[in-house]
Amino acid sequence: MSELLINTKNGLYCPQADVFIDPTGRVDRAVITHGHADHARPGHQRYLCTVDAAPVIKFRLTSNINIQTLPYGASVNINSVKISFHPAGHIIGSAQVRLEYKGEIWVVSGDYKLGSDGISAPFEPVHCHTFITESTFGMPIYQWKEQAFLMNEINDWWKKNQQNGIVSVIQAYSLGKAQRIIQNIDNTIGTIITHPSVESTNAVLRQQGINMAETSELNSKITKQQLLSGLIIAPPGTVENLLKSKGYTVSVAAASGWMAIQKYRQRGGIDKGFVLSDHADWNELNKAVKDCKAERVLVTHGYEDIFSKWLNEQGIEAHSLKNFYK
Amino acid sequence: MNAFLELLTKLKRSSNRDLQKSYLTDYYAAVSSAEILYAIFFLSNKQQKHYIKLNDVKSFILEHATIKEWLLEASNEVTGDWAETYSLVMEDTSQEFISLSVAYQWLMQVTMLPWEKRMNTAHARTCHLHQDIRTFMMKWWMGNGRFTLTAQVLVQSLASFTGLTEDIIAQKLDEGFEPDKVDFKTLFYRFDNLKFKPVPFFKGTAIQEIPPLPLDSYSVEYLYSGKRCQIILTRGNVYIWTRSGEVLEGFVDAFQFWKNDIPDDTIFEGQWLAEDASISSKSGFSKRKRIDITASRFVMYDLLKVGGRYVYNEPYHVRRQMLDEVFPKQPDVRISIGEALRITTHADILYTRQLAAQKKYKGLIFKESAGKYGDEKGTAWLKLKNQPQKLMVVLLYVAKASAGQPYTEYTFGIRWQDQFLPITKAYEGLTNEEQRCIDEYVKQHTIEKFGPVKSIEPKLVFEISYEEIQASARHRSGVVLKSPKILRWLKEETVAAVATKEDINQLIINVE
Repeated sequence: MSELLINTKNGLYCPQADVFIDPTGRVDRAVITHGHADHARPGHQRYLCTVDAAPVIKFRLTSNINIQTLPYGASVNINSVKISFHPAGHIIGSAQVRLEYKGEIWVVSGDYKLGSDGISAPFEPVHCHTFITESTFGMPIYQWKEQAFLMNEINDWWKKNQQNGIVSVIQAYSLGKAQRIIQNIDNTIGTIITHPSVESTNAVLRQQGINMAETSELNSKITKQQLLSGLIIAPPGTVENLLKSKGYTVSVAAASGWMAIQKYRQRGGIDKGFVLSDHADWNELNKAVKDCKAERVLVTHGYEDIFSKWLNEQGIEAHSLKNFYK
Repeated sequence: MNAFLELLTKLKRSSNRDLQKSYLTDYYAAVSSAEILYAIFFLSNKQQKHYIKLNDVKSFILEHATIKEWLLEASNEVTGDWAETYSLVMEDTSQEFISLSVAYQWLMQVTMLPWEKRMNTAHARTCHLHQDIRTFMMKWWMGNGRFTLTAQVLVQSLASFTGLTEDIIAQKLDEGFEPDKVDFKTLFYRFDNLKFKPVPFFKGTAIQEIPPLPLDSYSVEYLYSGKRCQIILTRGNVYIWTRSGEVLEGFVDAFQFWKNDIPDDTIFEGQWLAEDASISSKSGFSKRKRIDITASRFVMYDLLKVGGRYVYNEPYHVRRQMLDEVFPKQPDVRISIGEALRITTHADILYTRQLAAQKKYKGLIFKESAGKYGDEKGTAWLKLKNQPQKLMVVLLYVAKASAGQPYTEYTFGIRWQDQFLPITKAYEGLTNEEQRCIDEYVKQHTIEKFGPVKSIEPKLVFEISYEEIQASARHRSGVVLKSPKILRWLKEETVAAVATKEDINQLIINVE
């Protein structure tokens, strides 16, 4: 029997519905899990995504793309395949894609995390027969701490820099991590200053009704005093050297799951690492697999061989996605 | 401990020494002096012992985490560090911090336990701590706590923080310390027990022939006998180091003049000459460190450090000039500067060699004017020893180093009335064939055995050489020979040719 989803050079493809999920090449119809550049690419004829993800995707890819949206839980039928989106908890608007055809259910996780980040819709487990899961952090060395604990760490680092006349720069992607920090940081400490690429994303999100703490764009109007007391949120490598060349002492922090590993923390350019990830850790991956009650798990994006071997040992049929379709 | 871990991360990230130094001094300024001691302890910890075995760590994780060995090994491939793998996999929700001194205490406590209890105790002690601390501590226990920091960076940072010189710091760190048993001030600012180390003594090259003239590029001096010393004058103290690593105490007061006249932190090299023959032998020196020093004197001939700056890499003529400038105009009468000898002709050399022998010096030394102290080219210091003297002696005793070996220690004697007096031992100079012949002779002609030593019939005559002869009250023959060597076995000669006590006495008188 042919599978509901197959792996092609353009990515996951559903032949029955003639749709691709997060396709890499240009296709006619793309189902997009969320707005990050490695998932939402330009050039498709038609896009399908969640209501919450659409504004950012339009903003990033140009507004005249042909885009159809669905709220979480609602479904659309394409050639008898019922397609719906379910919260993935990764970033605002991120979704797992559920496909149902003749009683067989597949769920494509996209990127996801289980812990609630206070800004994106929290992950909901979806029962299915086949679960395609990411495995970015599919190793037992990756075990995240509570968000509140990590935010306290960031607050403390910020306050300490403030006392010592050091400019705090935290590296974060302009979509996702930036808003998560803005939303959860203690903004009574000082001004939250955002790189223009972060601020323009914020504007889009505010426009669509997301309630976000006040931020100031990093531009010539920002005073020296604001720089020294504020927290600058910027994509990696955009502002650090400029500030240093102007004579500021700068502490550069990175917020990412990779910061769990010492050798990554010690790479150049980063003074402080916070293990703050928008991906599921080892325990969350295991819980997600268990909760969706899948008969079969396909593992992609990360430690595919390791996580699938582990699941098989736990009595769950699992394959790495690339081997499954060989 | 937070500050310390941040420091470690910074130090690891940069290999730029100046940056590392600034990180260290920033850290010293930010934390208490007690914490600095602990930090230095960990940073200067050169010898890394293993207190917890890797296998114990692995089995502990496999027992307590629900993962199999292959997954554990795969995880470790990501981190590349078992201590980190341990602390990540055995993740605990609590994230407490402890002070560096508490960490030190716990580290030490575990090392006292029997091996089989260490891993469990280590985990129980630390599982509630912040992951970075757990990694640090487990690394230390596993003997992987080495840092990329070089000792020099640590020393320099402490020197600039304390205002002390680098060699004091180096010396203090060298001696080692227990951070819970000493405070910062006592460790760094007490000098009473501090022995500053000398610069490694330069050996020079022995030559047999007189170097070709002219000797324009060389300065010629006497090769003094006695003890070669470095005199370290620093921070109100005088340390006189001999080449064999002793610190002499007897002569210190003669250097009190330096406090006013000589820049602090200066090292001279010179020779301690004992004019009194009874103490000029090596044994005389070492047996009586606090001897009557009025009978001895110092000759200074080199300057290795002045006012805190090492100058041993300067050319000799520069060092010599500095020595002249630095040296006080009116030092203690017992201290002088070694004279440079005027040599232009071959006859000058022969004459000064003779003088050297008369003065009971070892010979002459030719110092390259452009040479550094410790130069490895082998031309900077050429040592020409006095021509060896010769003496005919008879073999009295033999001894061997261990059973089954040929005899290698030979005791020779001279005639005195109708008996023989031992005069010296010698070890070198015989061929294997000759050694075998002697072994044969000993088998047949042993008189007595004293443990490994055998006395034999005194019939075998040898010619030996020596560099110097000195009167000695401690030897039955009344003399002691320096650097004796066996020249040849005179198989044709009888004991009638052997030197007598009267001959020897005459030699001594000639020397004096």
